[in-house]
Amino acid sequence: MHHLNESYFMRIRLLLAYVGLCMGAFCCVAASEVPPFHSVSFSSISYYADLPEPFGKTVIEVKFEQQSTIVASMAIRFGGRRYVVPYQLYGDLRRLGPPEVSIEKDAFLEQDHIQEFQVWFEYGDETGYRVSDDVPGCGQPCYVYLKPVLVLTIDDQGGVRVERKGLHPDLAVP
Amino acid sequence: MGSEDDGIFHQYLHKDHLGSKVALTDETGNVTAAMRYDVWGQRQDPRPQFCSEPTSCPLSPNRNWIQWANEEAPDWISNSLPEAMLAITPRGFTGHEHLDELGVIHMNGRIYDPFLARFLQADPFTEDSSTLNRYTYVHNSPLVYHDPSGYISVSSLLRTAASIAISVYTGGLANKTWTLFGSTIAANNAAATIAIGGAVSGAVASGTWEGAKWGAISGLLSYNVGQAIGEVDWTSGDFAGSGMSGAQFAAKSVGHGLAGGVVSHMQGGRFGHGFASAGVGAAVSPYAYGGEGGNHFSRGMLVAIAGGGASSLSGGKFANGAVSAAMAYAFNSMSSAGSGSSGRSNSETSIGFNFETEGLERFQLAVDEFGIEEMFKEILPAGEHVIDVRIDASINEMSYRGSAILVNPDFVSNRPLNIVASSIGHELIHVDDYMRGRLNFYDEASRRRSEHRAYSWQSTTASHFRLPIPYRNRLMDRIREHASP
Repeated sequence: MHHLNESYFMRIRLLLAYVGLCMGAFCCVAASEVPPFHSVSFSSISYYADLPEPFGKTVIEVKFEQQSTIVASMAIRFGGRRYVVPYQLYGDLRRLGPPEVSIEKDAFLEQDHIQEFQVWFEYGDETGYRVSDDVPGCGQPCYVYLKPVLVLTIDDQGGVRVERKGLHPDLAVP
Repeated sequence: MGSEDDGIFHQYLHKDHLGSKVALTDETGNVTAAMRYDVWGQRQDPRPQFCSEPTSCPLSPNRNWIQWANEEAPDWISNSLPEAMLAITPRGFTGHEHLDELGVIHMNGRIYDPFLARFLQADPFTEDSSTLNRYTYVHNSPLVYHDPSGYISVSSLLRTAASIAISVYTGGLANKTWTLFGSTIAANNAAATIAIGGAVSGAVASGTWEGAKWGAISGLLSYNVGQAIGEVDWTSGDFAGSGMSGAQFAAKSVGHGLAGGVVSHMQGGRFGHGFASAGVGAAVSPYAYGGEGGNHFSRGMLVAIAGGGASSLSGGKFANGAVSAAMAYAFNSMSSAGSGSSGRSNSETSIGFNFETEGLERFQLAVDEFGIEEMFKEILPAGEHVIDVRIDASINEMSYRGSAILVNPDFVSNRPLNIVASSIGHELIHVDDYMRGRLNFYDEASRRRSEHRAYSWQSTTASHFRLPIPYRNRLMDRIREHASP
């Protein structure tokens, strides 16, 4: 009987110690906070690509307005020169995504010279486009979401033209 | 409705399933007059108790009925139930006018003699080439059909058409997943669906439970033949756009012919009739895909016509052949279609690729890297699938032939792995459509639908494959190009 009581009180003490530890841990967690922070926006981002001649090492620079996602300026550098993309070609541009560069498929396969390349940016908000309702794993109706794109074509003289700005033609509101 | 001095009273004419006038009742339901006919339309005395001596009932000695045939009204007509009814209407058998003095029935288009069980004029329409005798009455099946115009058995035609339609429509049902009262019913028990569809089709065609039984058996046989042919490892090919080799295609046609012949024989018919209709129906089914806008239903009808024609040429009935061919077509398609639809979890499905030549290691690498096999276990019909992968430098990137994938080796070797993987998935969507009987290489409409589905699948999985922006936008162009007009 004596041994039983001793064991019984030992268990109670262990339980209390455990509860105390837990409460202590809880108090510590409750007392700690995420330190206040302020996210600093990039003022400029540069993307590098190796393209066939005559472009070679090519850099795409994007500068943003201060503490904003609005594009302030864009420029392309290749062959030791810097070509500024005129602002009026792209205008108001927000929440720009990383660019993707494309060249003509045959030129890529033949490792040949190219006369121009394209830069694709996504920006802004997504818009849904209804596709086949019989797509496995997609709901009914089934939608694909795309963002508007800015497509620039840059030739070997540094000329820049806009191929598309906005939603895919099928998504654009008439 | 009649009239009495003290007011108006109503009488009701009753008819049987063929439209024959059989009874007249008053407002309280009492039978005040009655008529009766034998199976060919001869009048009989409706009172069984009247014929007390068997010798006076020569045409039906074991039953107490008296025949009234080709003569003036017999004595028993006087003061009897028929007399009251004759006073109201001359119409009797199948609702047509009896010319009792002449012993014939006026069926509008032609005169029918119920004693001879033949029309007295030839039928100007050859409704059924198996019935070369143009004087027969409703294909000698007077208990089932009737002839409202005197020319053709409309009921027979409607039954046949309805039976074919049910067969073909039921074939389409098995490819779908249904939601009923909030529960998803995957049609994974195709055999049960087929048995029910076949039974209903058989019952409608024959009007009997016996027909329902044979309809179910015929449907299941066609289904199993389709499955057996599909499971054999044949030399690949694309005979007549069927996606099968010539040997496989021939085996399929013969298999369906044998199934049709066995069913015909077991039903008491001739083996050759069933063999011809089901076999020819299966043989012409790939050609029924031709033509823009063809759908499952119209193709089923074309196959039915071919099967019916084959049955007629072999000496059988057009209608029987048409129904047999339609069943073989519809339920064979179901066996190809497998069970269930998209979004189905299927642990019994396995996918492998058989590379006919070396140099396609990057194909397998793309499959492994992006989990293509796992993705398509949920999409392809249940079963073990070994997809042939062949090199074809003449194509642009990738293509398909039946359940095989054709690849341009330069495309596989040089393009980014994610593009290759997404393209493999695109072709597997075609393979899925083909396996489910929704795609025929020579049917432009089915090709367009499949392309629309494949490009849509690529678009919805673009993030999984990390497809680049230009590629995703190009996919949208392709989706638009292949959308239904």
